[in-house]
Amino acid sequence: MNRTSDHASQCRSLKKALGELSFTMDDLRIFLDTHPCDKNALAMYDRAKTQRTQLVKRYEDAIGPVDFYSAGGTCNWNWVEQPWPWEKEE
Amino acid sequence: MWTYEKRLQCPVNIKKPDARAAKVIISQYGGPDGELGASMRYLSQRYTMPVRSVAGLLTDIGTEELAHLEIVSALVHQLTQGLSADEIKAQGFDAYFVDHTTGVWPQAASGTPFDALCFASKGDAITDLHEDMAAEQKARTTYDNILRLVDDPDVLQVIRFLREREIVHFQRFGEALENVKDTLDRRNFYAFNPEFDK
Repeated sequence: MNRTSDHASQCRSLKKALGELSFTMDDLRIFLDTHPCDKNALAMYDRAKTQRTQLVKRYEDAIGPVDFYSAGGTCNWNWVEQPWPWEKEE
Repeated sequence: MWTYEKRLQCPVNIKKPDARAAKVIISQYGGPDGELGASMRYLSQRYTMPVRSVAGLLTDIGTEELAHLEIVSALVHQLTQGLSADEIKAQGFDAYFVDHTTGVWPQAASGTPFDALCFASKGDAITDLHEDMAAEQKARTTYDNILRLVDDPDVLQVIRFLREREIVHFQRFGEALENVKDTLDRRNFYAFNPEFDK
């Protein structure tokens, strides 16, 4: 596998991992809204939160900012460099 | 305050354009039981919701509905890209095309523009939570109907994801309703309106 396709497959798996972990948290969040004392759900949310911080760091190093507070750049504004999420994959 | 995340909650990657499918799916963008009405319903109702955790649920589900609005828009957008004028005509998309080209605009499948009258913010916790539960079921029915009308697996998996979320949200609103009732006079839930009477 050459370098470009290696990077592309790394990006694909990071996107998939971020989507899945974030969705886990989306679902847990609304469960916790109606079960605020559920110790299992609280522990799961806490674990996911730690994992997500690390994953977002890897995602942003490889792909670009997830949200605009982490956007930036030295001579190019990286917020607008990558495709928008509704664009078709090439 | 909202923060935009540059990703879809459920990825959309359509390989085959199909304006006929876009024409029915657009109803979940701006139709009577669509995601625009859903997000506005919950985000409007939360200000006077007397139970703090339920106001939190309305905020979180209202926010998730905005993400669903983006998913439905991405479907409509991708399904209508790369078509010729002849294909647009053959696929019955010409009436939409003449007004919007392939821009995404909130309307029902019938062409009726988005109307805030499709949702309620009644200022009464019991009434609003019943409205929310019914809304989730109406959206679920609409997704069921879309599943009968489209056959592309790339579209189907996204519609199935959205349909499942309606069922989860219905469950959460049911729990929220019980939660609100527990804070009221159990002999008569209607003795007073906790959003108005002090």
